[in-house]
Amino acid sequence: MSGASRTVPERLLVPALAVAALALTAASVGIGYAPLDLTAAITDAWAGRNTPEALVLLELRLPRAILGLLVGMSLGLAGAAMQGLLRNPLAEPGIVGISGAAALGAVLVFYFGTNLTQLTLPLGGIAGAALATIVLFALAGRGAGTTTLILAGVAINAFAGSATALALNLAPNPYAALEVVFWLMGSLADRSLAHVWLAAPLMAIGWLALLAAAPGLDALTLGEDTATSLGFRLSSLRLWVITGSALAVGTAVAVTGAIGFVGLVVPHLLRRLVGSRPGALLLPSAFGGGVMVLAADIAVRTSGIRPELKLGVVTSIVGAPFLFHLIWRLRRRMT
Amino acid sequence: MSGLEARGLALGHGGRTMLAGVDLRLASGEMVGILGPNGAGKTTLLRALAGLAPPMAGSLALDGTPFARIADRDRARAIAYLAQGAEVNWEMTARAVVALGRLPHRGHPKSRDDETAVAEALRQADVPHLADRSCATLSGGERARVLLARALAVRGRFLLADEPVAALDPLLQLRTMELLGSIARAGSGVAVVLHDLSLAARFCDRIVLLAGGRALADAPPAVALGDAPVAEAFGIDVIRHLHDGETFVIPRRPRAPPIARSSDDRPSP
Repeated sequence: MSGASRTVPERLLVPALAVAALALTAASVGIGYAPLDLTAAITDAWAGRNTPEALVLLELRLPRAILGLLVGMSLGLAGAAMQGLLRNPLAEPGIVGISGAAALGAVLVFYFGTNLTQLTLPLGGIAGAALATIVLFALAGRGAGTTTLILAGVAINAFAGSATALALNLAPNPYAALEVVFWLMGSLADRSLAHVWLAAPLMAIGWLALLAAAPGLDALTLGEDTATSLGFRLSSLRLWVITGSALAVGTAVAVTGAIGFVGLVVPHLLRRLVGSRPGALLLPSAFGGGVMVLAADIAVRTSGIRPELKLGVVTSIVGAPFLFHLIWRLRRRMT
Repeated sequence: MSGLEARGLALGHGGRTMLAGVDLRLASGEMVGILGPNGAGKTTLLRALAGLAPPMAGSLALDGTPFARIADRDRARAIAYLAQGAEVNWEMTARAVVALGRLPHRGHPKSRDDETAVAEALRQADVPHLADRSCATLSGGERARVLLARALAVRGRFLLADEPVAALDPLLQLRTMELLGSIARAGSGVAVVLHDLSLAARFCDRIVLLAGGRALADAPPAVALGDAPVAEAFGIDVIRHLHDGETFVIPRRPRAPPIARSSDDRPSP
């Protein structure tokens, strides 16, 4: 996977990906359905004038672009960390059930919510993610091994999936069911700056927890005994990675719905460039995730396909072939 | 009290007793061989000494300080541990793997020495030429040497190695034992789990002979690998051959009647 000759120094790759992510964020602000004089919009917004241009910028373009960056970074970073923790290139942030539970939390708000404000839905998702994290640790225990964690995640995913299906089954009318299904497909459309303010702090704390786990993930490369002998407590390492993923990805799903494959594909692609050391893969995967989600979101708006494709659908359609490729490589290596 | 010391160590797993009251002291500058039949508790003892398995009873101390009062990172800097097998989960280069041995030193004033330590460890283990190869492309023996270099890169005052010669050809077995001996002579305390009686007799200052979770002997090789303890521990007769002042101990035949072995070692029908 990573010959030395192909290893790009981290100090070059991270700035390059960061610049690409920021450039795509700017490009995302510049792209939209309504024609917009950006200079006028920025001037008006800066001066605090409530012109239509300023409103389009502040209420539509900016939240969409910033959330694209934040969600992509969360998914990429958590994916890389989860692969490191489980020592498996096929792991992704959803494997421990937190994404499924966040989606269920939001669906329940859809279902039972009567007096919805714009933040009720993401708050329901965040509550779902938090509850799933508690259940995960209660089920698996603090000293849980990898297999127990994955099994607990499978159980949580199965429950969240069936409860979501039940909610759809019992939907009062087809329109309500359709609304839930569309939300589940994941999208950055029609989010506001309030969503950004809700998500950003939680995600940032999650990122810090995940980045702090880097040395422990490196040590885990040589197995649990060697990692412990190098001074790392596996129970703490799992706590950091899972809590960090829950904060970052749980919030991402709560705000935008399920955007699949980013956490799986991005670390896999970058591993060829930075080498396989899990700690070195975290930051590049964060910016890489931002690049992938922003690029996909720009693509859905510029493709001309109407109604607009859901972001989660696009990332999955692009991501699935990579999964085939990954399995193909693994199989070839085993034979 | 300097050294790494276990007293009355007892450990179990799943209701089975793995160690029952074992004492062991590893001083700086000595090389101790841990021998015994499969399932005797050698790996369990080594893991306990490395701080990987908390004992059910007994005490573990580093220079007189109980393990419980030593920070994980301080323990990790003092005690290097080389696990059995050759687990490398990602396709990292040999150099990147060896550099993992420096993790306990991160943020420490001496961390500037990291590159020197890695280069020296690669050289000691005789693998500088493999430094930029991916571990996935190495042979079993090459990988074992790279992982030994990883443990050396810790530069711990104690080195605990679990079957470091298991995957090696005869030349590399000798080279590895010489290397471990030289590390001990340079002042580190080295404990090594071995199956080869001759290598143990020739290279170790002291042998701890385990059987059924107990220490049958803790003595210089000439005593610990005598006919009686070897027969009791392994159920074999040995041939002893003296050559150039060194003793070679060669397994000859099983003693009749065969001793009862633990159920784990019985071949499946």
